[in-house]
Amino acid sequence: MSDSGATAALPDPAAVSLAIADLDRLISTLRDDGRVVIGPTTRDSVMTLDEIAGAGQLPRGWLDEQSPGKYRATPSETATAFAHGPPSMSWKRFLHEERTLVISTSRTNGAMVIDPAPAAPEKPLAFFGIQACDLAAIGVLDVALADDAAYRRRRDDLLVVAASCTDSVATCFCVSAGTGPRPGPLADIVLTELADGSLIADARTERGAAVLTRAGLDTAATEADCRSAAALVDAAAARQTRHLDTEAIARAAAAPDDVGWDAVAERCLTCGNCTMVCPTCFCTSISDQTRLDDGCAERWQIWASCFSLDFAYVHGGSVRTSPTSRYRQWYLHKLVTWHDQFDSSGCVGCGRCITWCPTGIDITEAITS
Amino acid sequence: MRSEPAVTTLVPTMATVEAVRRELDDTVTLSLALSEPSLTPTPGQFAMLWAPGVGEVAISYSGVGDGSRVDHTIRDVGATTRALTTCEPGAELGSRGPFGRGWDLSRLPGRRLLIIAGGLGLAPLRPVVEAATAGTLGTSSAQLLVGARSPDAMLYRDEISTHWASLEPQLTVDHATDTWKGGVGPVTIALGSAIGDPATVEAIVCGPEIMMRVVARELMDRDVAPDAIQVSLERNMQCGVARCGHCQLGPLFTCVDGPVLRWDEAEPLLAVRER
Amino acid sequence: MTPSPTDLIAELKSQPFCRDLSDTELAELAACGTLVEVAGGDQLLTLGGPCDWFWVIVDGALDVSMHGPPVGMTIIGRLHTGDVAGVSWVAEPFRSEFDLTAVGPGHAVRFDAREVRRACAADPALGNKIYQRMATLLRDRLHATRLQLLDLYGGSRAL
Repeated sequence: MSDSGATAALPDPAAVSLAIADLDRLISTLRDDGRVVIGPTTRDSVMTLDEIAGAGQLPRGWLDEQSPGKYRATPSETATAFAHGPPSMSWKRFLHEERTLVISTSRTNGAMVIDPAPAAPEKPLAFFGIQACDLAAIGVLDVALADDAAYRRRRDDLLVVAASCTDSVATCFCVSAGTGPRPGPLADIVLTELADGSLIADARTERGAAVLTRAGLDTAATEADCRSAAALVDAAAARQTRHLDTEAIARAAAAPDDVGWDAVAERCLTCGNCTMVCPTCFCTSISDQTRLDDGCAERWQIWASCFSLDFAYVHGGSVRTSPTSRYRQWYLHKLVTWHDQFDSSGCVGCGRCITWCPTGIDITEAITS
Repeated sequence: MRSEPAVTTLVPTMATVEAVRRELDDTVTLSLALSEPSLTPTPGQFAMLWAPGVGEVAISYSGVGDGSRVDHTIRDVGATTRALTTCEPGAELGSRGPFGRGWDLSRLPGRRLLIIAGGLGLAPLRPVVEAATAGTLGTSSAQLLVGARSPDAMLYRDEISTHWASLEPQLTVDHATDTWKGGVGPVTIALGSAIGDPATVEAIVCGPEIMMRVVARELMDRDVAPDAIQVSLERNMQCGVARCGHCQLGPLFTCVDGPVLRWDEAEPLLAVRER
Repeated sequence: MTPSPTDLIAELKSQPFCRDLSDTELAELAACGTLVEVAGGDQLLTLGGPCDWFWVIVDGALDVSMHGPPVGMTIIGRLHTGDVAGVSWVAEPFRSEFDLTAVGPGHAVRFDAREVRRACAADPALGNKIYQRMATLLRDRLHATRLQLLDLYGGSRAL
């Protein structure tokens, strides 16, 4: 992606400077536009994503630590709100919901009539503080779910205020995945936070520039601040130690049965956590529900995981019964066959699958070990 | 990139069951009238049939009609197929489709066509068999080979012995009683005498995956080229539009890139266990 | 029908079972065989009985079957022109485990298994060829049987 990566240019000279208090003006402007603003926030000592009404709900003063099978968020003296790793859940749930009504039925003069799910007028969304990896994931989903009407509706209306990463946690590997730490081309506005919590805002689209103008944010950022911001992001990139082993991936692609999955198989519980937290996993099942009152039916599209035994069920049994084959399916889809299907990798390097795996299986080391 | 599906909707069209024909103890053929015509299915394509309130299941077309009248042969193997196979005439169902890549009939003119079916695998071949019987495929010759568990489990047995007799049907069963006139053993036992000049053969094969693999290997042992063998794969198809992810086979979404594949495409994918 | 030895050798020459045998070997084998006619229902081997014979089918069909409750009489293999019927002669105790019955009228070359074993022992080159052929045939029949054992059509493909 052209403007991501550790060695990208400095923020645009037209970038503006924001004080911490200015974030409220930015969020209010988005809300005044009728948008639901989604951003990182701390709940139950975990940084997660939710609707936010003001900058006070951002995880300012929290730091997180992530490593294989481990997540800790702790209060600290820091002045920053965006110097953290990927929030526990990814942003996909706001565009590709866990449950989506597909159709329902009703009866007209005794005959069954199918009612497609209403394209309910929902408030458009604004993603506030989305990081580079997660923004790249939206680009990935844009291809995989291009025909999904519910996804497209939310996506088309989405406004993106991204945040450059000024820190990396141990599970991050966006540099290796080619997605960060600088947010890529889908952002309307990119924020980069300095150590004192003040920020630089860089409009990437006319729509983004208009938001900054309406918010009255027009103090030009100093070149010194821009250099400091760039240095922080470069430092975050330099701290990453994990990387995708392209040679190992190529071996797995060429001979799926001949690479060692045993180390993974011994540990994989097939719990599906990795698929739930993955920002690009898009698989779903469709399930019928019958209403008890009138006997009419509804069909719901519900997130599915390729780790569940019935995912690849054909009459007579599952195609993939062993945990190894299910892990292998996920791994090869993400890193190999995604390229065949969608002309990109399905992995954006957020590292959530490593953090949230109860046994700490590491996608960057699954083959090499 | 994956193939682009011609139909992308998850919303079914309502259909009325016009006729129910019992084929086997556990198998019926439903003739459906769609409330809005679909695209005319290609033989080998499938529809997602919906039993309202129960579920949806991928069922191939056993009669392609004109897109407003279609046939589906369905075996009762679970909740949804139970609901479908117990339908009475007049029942309302949902239908989406046609989905997937059907048989490549453009390869057939001038060739010796072998239609090789195992069990219910004859259902998606039925439109091809009927076209072959009618002589509309342009083949130089055609023969039908069918394997089944036992004589009373052989699908379309009346049609085979009457309307399809010109295809010189070779029938084999796994076990039989002494009134059975066909072969006993795997369907491959009839291949040797059916092939003729292997360079002219185009084989289309549908049945359980193991049966298709054995048949394809036997054909190749007898010098039929792997790209002259077409098979139809069964995977868990839920959306039909390459979106739900369940039917993946390596890089393929079987629902749009299949279910019909040439053996040279299918073999390396199926060679990987539990893929 | 009383064929001459030359008729028998000509018939055997066309049989896949005798492919690539030299004229001498063919004559040695033909000396153990007789061209016979069968009628539908003729029982050639009996379940539990001795397997002192085997047949190379010229035309017609022979059923390999088993009987007993609860399935009654069940045909598990049907052999046609070119097939070898009767395999238990290759190893002790030379006992048939199935019935072998003619489906209808036909012809076969019937071999005296004792004579064939004797000829194979006397001419190891012939013996090698015959037992290799039997091994191939047994392998093919084992593969076929295993496929039948999977009961593929019973439990798959909802379609």
